[in-house]
Amino acid sequence: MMHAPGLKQKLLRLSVLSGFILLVSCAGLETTPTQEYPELAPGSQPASSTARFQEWLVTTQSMGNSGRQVAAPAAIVKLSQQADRQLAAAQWQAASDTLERLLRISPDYAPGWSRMAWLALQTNAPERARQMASRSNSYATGRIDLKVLNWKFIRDASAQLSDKGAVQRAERNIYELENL
Amino acid sequence: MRSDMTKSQRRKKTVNRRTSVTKRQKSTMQKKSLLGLIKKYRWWLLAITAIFLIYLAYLDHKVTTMFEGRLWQLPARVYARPLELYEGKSLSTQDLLAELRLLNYKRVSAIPAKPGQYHNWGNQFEIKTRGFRFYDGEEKSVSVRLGIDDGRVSSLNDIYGDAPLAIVRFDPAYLTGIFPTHSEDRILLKIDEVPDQFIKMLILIEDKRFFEHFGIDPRSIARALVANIKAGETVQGGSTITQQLVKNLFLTPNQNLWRKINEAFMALFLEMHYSKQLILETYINEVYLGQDQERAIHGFGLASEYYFGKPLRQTTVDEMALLVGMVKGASYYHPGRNPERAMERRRVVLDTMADNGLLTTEQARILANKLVQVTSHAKRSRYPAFIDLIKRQLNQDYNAEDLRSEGLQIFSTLDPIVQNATESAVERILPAIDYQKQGLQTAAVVVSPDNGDVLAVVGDRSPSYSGFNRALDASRQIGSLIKPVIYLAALQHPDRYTLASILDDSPLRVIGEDKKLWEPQNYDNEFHGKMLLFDALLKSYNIPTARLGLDVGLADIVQTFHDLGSPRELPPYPSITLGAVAMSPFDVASVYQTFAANGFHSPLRSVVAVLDNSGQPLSRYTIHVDRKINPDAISLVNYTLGQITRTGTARRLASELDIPVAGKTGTTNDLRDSWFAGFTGDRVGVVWVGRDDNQPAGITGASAAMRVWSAIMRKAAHRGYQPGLSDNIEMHWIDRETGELGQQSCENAIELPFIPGSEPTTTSSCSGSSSSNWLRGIFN
Repeated sequence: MMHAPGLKQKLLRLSVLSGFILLVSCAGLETTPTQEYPELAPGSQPASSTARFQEWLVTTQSMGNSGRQVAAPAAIVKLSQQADRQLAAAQWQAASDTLERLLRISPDYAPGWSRMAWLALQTNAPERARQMASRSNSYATGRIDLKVLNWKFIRDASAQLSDKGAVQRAERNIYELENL
Repeated sequence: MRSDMTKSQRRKKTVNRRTSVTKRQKSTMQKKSLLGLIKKYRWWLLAITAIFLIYLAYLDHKVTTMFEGRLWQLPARVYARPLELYEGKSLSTQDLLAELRLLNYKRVSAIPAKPGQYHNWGNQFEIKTRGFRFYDGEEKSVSVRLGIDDGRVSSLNDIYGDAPLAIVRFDPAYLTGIFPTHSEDRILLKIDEVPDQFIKMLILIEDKRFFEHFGIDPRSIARALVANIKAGETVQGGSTITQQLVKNLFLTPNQNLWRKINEAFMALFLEMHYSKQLILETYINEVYLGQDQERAIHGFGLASEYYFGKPLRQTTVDEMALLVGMVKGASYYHPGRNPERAMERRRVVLDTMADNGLLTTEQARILANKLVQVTSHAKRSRYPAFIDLIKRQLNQDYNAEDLRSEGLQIFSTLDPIVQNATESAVERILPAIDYQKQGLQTAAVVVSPDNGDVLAVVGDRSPSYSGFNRALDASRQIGSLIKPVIYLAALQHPDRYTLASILDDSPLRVIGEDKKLWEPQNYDNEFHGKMLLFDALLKSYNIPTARLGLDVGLADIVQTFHDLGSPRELPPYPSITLGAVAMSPFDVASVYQTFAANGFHSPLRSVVAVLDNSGQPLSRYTIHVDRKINPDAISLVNYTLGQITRTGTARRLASELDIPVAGKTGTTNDLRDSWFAGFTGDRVGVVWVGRDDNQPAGITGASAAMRVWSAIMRKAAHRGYQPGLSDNIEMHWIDRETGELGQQSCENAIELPFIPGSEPTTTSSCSGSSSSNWLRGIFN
């Protein structure tokens, strides 16, 4: 079941968005607007931030995945974009279905697992978010930007679970990755 | 004379008057007596009339209640995973053709014009897919041109626009139904989904005055009566469509007067309450049209799919005529079994159409001469072991009655290509292994490592046999398949164990929990002295493994086993270190999936979504991942499992398969059970071979189960297993004799992975190197 987000949830999303902004900045793309991605109500907003988010995704896709040949680039791009539109419209179940479809044809596609983590955070499933982000990291060998993002997901999900030790470990990993 | 006549006339008149008076008197008396009788029995008559009226009311109630309630129990429909095509997808021409056959796509000799058709030459295909409503939305029909080169989809374009297509999803293959006890199956149609021409044809043949009568048709009954009297037997029926429907829905097939009276009254009531359109729609969905083994084919919707592999709206006139003709006797005119009778019956229907102006005589003649062609169906039940798994998994959320009667649509994870590869491997290899004909049995499970999707299940050496499902229910000791768990439990403590730790293979005696002496032996009944932990697993030695397990602690092993996703609890006995624990192949697959996914356990699932009869989603079974295992430790074990298939007990695989794989053989005491569990980059497979009576079978893991596994993976696996060593792993050269750091040039050196900081701190003198041996030789 998908639940509507509460205030705490919204604050958490704000912090997660900052991860995206940081990431996009690191990737050398134009500055991301301050609007919060998850708050995009169906049809209410998104064009600019979604476009930039997708731009980032395309950038990550062109960089390949873990230095390996991507099995089905066109299919991955199409399904990724479809999932992103659904995420932007808060169509959580539809986005989840699309991401599963994507991961079925390319299971080692680290950004796909990362989106799953993001989706889990939006649907108040922090433990699931941690697992999905870890899965993404396991395929993100050599992808520091993606790893940082995933560790931020893990940090935020751990905070939601009041797991202080895990928050500290995540912070440490983020710091180390960002200072490599 | 006159007076005589007068007398005579007078007498006659008198007689007549007397007779008339007598008649009147009689009539009056009769009336009086009838009235008397009525009066006398009026209460009885009233009672009988009341009973009759009550009975009519009962029939009326029965008709309305049943007609407005649930008329049919609809079986659940189970679908395979949909085939998705995209550039780069691993797919052979044979596999695509097999999938198209399974989907009942029709081969044509030009560009396919209708959904469900394809054109193929060599490795090139032109396909018009069928649209389908999935749980995540509608997939529209597309016309696609694709090429396959070197086992991969090399191009994928729109036939008309010639633009590249990113991805194409086919409709999913229908596997089977989960049937009600009476095994009726049907696809419900709305009246507006039925072609007009078909309706005209049906009414013409079955009930020409359907739209004019009121449920029964006296003219038809009279005509049938005359025809039957002339023939001296029943040659013609006078039942209307409404009467036929009443008989099928509410009455028994017995032919007796009482049933005919009930049928007539109920037909009248049905027409009184409901529209002709609704009655006709119900008839179209109810009528019996043949048998598919246990399954009864009802309704033109399913009959069209079953006989012609397409929906009714896509059927041609001659196909419609065949279906309409079959109403008279579905078995007698079965087009598969009795094509000549079916063809003759079709001719009668077409001629009747021509006589009534629905076709020209010439058209009817041409159509009547067409060959009767129907879709061929395998004469065996499809994938019974897999369907059994689906039922068990759904039974956790749905009651059995709902599964059989609510018309649920179940989207399974079964991959027909992998399932067929598994079945053909079992059917081909097992007879060769069982050359002594000792009745060896087998079971196999193939799953996807990344999401836990179950792709194939076989529960018997005859895969279509639907009895004992060994894949799920055979509980057999797993032997050495447990060893990776023991080593993983140890390697999760990098401060105590590494792949270079030295283990002792010397006699071991332990007093177990049951106070009995336990004295494990190696498979070759020999002791091999000191060895690397890596080599002990590579060569599957029992004694060093048992010693390691006892040193790690049984509680740790039990916990690791649980963290790997085993649904079974382990008893904390020393013998578990050598696999004295009984499991099914399915449960073993659950554990090995976690190894294959580098420690991420995904519960095995056979269903991804369930929709109700109207296509509304009821349940989603989304992917879950859960990592409780140290990823670095598991990558060390997986590295060793990979080496086992190159230089260890499963080294034959290296020459049999083109891709790198990882796995472990398992053999139990007295050669009773043969196991192999292993994985590629995209498949996890577990195979068991043995005897049902648990008697010695004279087979090892490598001699039986591994052969089946290898045959499966040759066809079903496309991606090799990469050990997936994490960023946190370092490789070091180790002296195999001492377990110390060595050099590549040393003769006994081996490169092994380590968690940083756990590598040996001392360096070997490289005593085993070829150069030092050469020097030693000079000095000696």
